[in-house]
Amino acid sequence: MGKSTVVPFGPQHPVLPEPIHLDLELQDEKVVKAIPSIGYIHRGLEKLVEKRGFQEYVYIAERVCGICSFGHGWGYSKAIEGLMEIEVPRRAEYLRTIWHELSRLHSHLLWVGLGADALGFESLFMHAWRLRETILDMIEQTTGGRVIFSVCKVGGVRRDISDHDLKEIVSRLEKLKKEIDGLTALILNDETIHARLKGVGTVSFEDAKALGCVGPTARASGVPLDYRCGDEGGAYKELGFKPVTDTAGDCFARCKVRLLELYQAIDLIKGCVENMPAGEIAVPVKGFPPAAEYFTRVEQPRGEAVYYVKGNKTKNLERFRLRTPTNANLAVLVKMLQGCDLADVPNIILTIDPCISCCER
Amino acid sequence: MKQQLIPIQIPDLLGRVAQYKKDGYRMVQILCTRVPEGYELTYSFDKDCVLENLRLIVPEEGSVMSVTSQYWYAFVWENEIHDLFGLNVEFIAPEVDYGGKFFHLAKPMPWHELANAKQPASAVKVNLRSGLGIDASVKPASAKPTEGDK
Amino acid sequence: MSYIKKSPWLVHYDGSSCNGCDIEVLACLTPLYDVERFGIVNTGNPKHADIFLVTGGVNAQNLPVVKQIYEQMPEPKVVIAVGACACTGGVFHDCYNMIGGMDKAIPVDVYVPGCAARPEAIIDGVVKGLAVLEEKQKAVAVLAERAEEERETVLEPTVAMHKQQEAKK
Repeated sequence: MGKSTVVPFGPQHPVLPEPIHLDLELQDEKVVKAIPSIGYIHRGLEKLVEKRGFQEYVYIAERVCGICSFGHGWGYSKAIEGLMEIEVPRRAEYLRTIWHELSRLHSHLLWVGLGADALGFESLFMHAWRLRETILDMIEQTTGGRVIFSVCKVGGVRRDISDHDLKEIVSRLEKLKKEIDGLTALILNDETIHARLKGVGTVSFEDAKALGCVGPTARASGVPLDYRCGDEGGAYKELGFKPVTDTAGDCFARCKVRLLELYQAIDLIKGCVENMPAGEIAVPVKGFPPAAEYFTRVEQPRGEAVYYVKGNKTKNLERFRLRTPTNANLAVLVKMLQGCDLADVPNIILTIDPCISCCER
Repeated sequence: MKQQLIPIQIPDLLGRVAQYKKDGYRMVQILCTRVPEGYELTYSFDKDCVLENLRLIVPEEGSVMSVTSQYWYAFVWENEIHDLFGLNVEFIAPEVDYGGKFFHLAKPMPWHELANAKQPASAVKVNLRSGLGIDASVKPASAKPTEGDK
Repeated sequence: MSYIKKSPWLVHYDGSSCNGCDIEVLACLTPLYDVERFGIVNTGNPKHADIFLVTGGVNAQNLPVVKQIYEQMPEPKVVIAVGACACTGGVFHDCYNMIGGMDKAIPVDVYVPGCAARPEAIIDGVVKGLAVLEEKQKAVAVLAERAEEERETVLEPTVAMHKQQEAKK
């Protein structure tokens, strides 16, 4: 009969970029049960709508999370635009798509680095983040900021990207693609990575549907859930979009899906640049949100994020609610950890790409 | 985005949720808003990028049944609603019922106060933008300027 | 040999931040900014660390955690509050669950502003922190010297005298 212990994991842990606490009930080295305890980053920012005007609140929405920052700014702006029936110019939609896909690129490369660090592969962490700096340079050149760039606003975007900058983005992405080829070949063919990730933390197709997971976590189990397929009004419909899926459902499949999405993001950015419409980048916003409510969704790098706004004819919204992808993936994390080895716990946690600040707001 | 709002009563909730589960819908979220009438709950379900929302109003001292029997992962939102709003959600699956300790807060039930709930639930019509392939049978609030005035 | 200074090891913790400053802290370690060339290592163990890089305005649940990490670090230690949230609470200063800046939890030596704080600013903050660390090391060295002196001039002769008296008995 094995010995049973409870090991606290987190909130401070070398592989965790953000604090989350798990009580792991172990039988020898196998995890029998994982009980999460969250709330370390709960700031209560949804209640700040009472104090900040609806146009000013976009700065708060962006700071929900530093990695998925642009997506949150976009989602919030889209929700208000839906509420107030504001038609955003086509050029602004395409610019927003370019910045969002650049965000996705930097987020997935960040994840590759952190995942590699959790495996003990420190030089891969350094290489992935070195490549990520190219993306951050492009973002900085076009917006002025590196991680939180405040370029989305209600009614459109704040800055335009010149034709010269657009061409430069495409040529830099071409060069980056060759380096990403090297990275992908390394990760997908390395025997140690196969040994550490294949067959670990497997989530079957039925479980993925029953546990309501979203994003690459769901797509790696074969569930083709990607809101970019259903997005009306954005550039994705015009560019044509198909989600990247895999069937294995283990940590390796989740890694593979994210790597393939890097290529997809580069193609989407090139498509946006080629088909970039001319015109205005924003429309003026007049008046206050009506007494109405609206839901909208954005496919963040981690999955689908749902934004809900309710107006009350004043400058302040009545309610703003954000359901983030990590919030939806908590349940699948608890299930994935049952039956795994203690040494695999950091890998499995990182494999859902946890963004605890998004999850707790 | 295609979306629809269906107002229901508290006793209908579990039946409707079970029907959605049977039809293969994915539960997206549970949303709670403090209103003068009590709590306004919205349960959102998605299939093929269409969002269907069940709306119910729970009075101040009332409670609502947990849907973890159908959608186990709803425990995240039900525990959150209990901790932040103080709304009693009954019969959450025992292994995921945190008993008020899911979120540790500086001030318990910070959303419970009525002071900031400015408008009644009945004042709001769902705003669905036309021209984007959305269900045209429910008109946007701006098309009827005299309705919804406080 | 006076140009050789100590290479500090740092421990990093996210004290309720949005993660923007945290990824900029990690970006300092990566090849573009590369603080590892100065021997600075990001360790996970607070007892190995000299510098505590903390981000975020602290919230109620995180307060005991931040204090515990701070207390576990050996003297001399330096705390660097990175980002607007750690300095004053930032845009979230009036949220219901936020206590405010990091100095409400632990004593802070260097404040690095920015939202998110840029890696150049963070490295600048760490260099200023190094100067503070040196002063604290000198203060600790002075105290150690005094303790040594006291031991030599007062304690040891007293012990020796007692031993002689015991031997005579």
